[in-house]
Amino acid sequence: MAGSLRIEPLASSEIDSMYEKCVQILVDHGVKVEHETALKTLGAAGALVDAETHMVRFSRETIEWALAQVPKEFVYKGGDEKHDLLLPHPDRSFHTSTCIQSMLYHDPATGGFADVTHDSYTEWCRLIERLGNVDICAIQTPMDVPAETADVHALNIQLQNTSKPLAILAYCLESVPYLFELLLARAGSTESLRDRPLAAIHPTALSPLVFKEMDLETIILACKYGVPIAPASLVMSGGTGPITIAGTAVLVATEIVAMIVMAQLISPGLPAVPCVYNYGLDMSTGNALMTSPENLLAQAVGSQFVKEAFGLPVWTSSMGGDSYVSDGQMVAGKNLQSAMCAMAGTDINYGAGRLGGSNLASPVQLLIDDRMVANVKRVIAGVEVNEDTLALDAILAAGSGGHYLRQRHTLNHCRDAVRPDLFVAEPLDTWQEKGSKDLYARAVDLYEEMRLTLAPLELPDDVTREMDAIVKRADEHLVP
Amino acid sequence: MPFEEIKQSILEGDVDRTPDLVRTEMEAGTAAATILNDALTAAMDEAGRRLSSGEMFIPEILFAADAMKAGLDVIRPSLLDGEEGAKGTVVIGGVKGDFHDIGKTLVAWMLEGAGFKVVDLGVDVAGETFIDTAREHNADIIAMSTLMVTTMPLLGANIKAAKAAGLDVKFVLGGAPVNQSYADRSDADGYASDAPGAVALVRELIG
Repeated sequence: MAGSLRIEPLASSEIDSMYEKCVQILVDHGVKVEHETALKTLGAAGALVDAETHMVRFSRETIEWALAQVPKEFVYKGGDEKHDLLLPHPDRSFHTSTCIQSMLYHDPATGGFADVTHDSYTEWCRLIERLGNVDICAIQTPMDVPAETADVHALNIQLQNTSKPLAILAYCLESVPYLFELLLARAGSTESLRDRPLAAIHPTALSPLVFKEMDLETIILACKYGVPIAPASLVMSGGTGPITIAGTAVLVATEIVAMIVMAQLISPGLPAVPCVYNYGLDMSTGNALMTSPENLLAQAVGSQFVKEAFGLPVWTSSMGGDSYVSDGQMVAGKNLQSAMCAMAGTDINYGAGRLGGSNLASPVQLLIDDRMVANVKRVIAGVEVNEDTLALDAILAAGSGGHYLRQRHTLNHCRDAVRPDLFVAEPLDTWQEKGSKDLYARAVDLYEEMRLTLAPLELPDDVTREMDAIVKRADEHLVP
Repeated sequence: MPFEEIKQSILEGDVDRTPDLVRTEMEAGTAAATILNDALTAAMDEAGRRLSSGEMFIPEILFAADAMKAGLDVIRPSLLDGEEGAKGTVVIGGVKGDFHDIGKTLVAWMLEGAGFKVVDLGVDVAGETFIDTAREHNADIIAMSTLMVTTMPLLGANIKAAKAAGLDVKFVLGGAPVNQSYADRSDADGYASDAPGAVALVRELIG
């Protein structure tokens, strides 16, 4: 077997050149850091800090030392070890996370959008617990809780309703400690949390090259508790980053490396998985583009560059969408982008359930994406060639004009193929008898069926009480 | 076609040639106010139309605005009081606690390009700063944005405070997490999902 299917948009000499640009930016220009304590800590640890401008520069030696400290592989753990994810993916395949920070869910009953609520996000988390190809549950935004503590409420919902690894991020500086308190309460102790961190947390660049107080606080507390970071860059090509694909990849990687260097200076060895989440700016409308051809390629380029240049697993926004409903445009974009990014080396495929833009999602699309991932995984796995698969005995046994259905070889392999249940594989008559339903209608049926049997995790009462108390305390302290 | 060359130069974003052409027109005896209305403003109106129809792209509009301003600098000393004639005044900023700049700045640039006077307060702007600045500049509109869920309530709070302070302006909102429904709940006068939409909205509200 030649191995899983691969594409390499960049030549190694191009990767070397892009790497040097990243280093040059961090050495000569640096990044702006809006966190007084972090500035002092980074200065003491060897970064070049200008206290007046808040600019932080790093020497090449510091950058390369820091990158060498990051574990090249680690286990991304959730609440139950059966869902643990090895990074990089051991089979050169990929894991899948949901989209993040959704505020509106598409409602299949009305055809419109409705605010994400405590209850609808609870259902979303329970749904994820049941899906075979969605491995990571990312934080969403319930709109019927106080805005100041929406992230705290959301994490509590995640922790009580799915045991899969979580992706979280703080919505404001003041809520950061409460997120770690919740993780600690669920884990039971600092040692347990360090051993099983339950989540990866996103610090995010304010592109270009600025890091807010909230994101440095996130890094500092992640270092304190040993929670892996997923440093994310959301460069918008042509807006907050260069309009060219190569330039975007350089800026994205520079911002990610800056966060990694800062984390490693504080806590060497903290696991990190870079998040390539850039998107395009439509020069005609100013709208964000997720699945334009250029952004499809940009995500693939970013995946390959970060993975190969820095030797780290990579998390790529590869299931975004530009349509606002689960239509053909949505499936075409997601299918192509997830396949391209997987072939370019991404380890985590981000965006299951996402509709167009940055805050729309759909539980029905989540089910479609779950099945789509199965298809993409099978395709990129490639072909196995050995004495058995070459099937010479079967060919000779069937001879001329025979058939293969009663052959032991066929029996042995007849269940090898992926058959995603939402995609039609039945005869026309059967499909018509079942109501001639399209992909979306079939997914709605599945969703309605699944939601009847969803359930919360069975956690000890004292744990849920403590987590609920933390949320209540956050409300009391942070909500005016 | 009068002033065709100036208008074309603006539409091409030519910041070097436009002031030369305007200067030539001034030297020929054309009134500054005529050049402003029939050449500079007319060119940006055409740019706005072309943006809406997809014929021009945002960077081209921004360069056109720069060219228009370069032409305006030439005639400004000759304009009489009140002749500079901005179509209205917009105070714009990102709310307190939010540091996202690009979308708000894009809207500000495009409003300027469309002929409005824009007072850009930047990001992380306190509610009272919006009110004070709107009073100081006798603004027609306060435009506020946020990209963060946690700062969304400030949109409505700022509107409430401004109305309580007796400010007679209209409020428009923008930003990724904001939508028309949220703008309605915040008692805003309008919401736009993108920069061209914001320009159209301000035009509609100011009339």
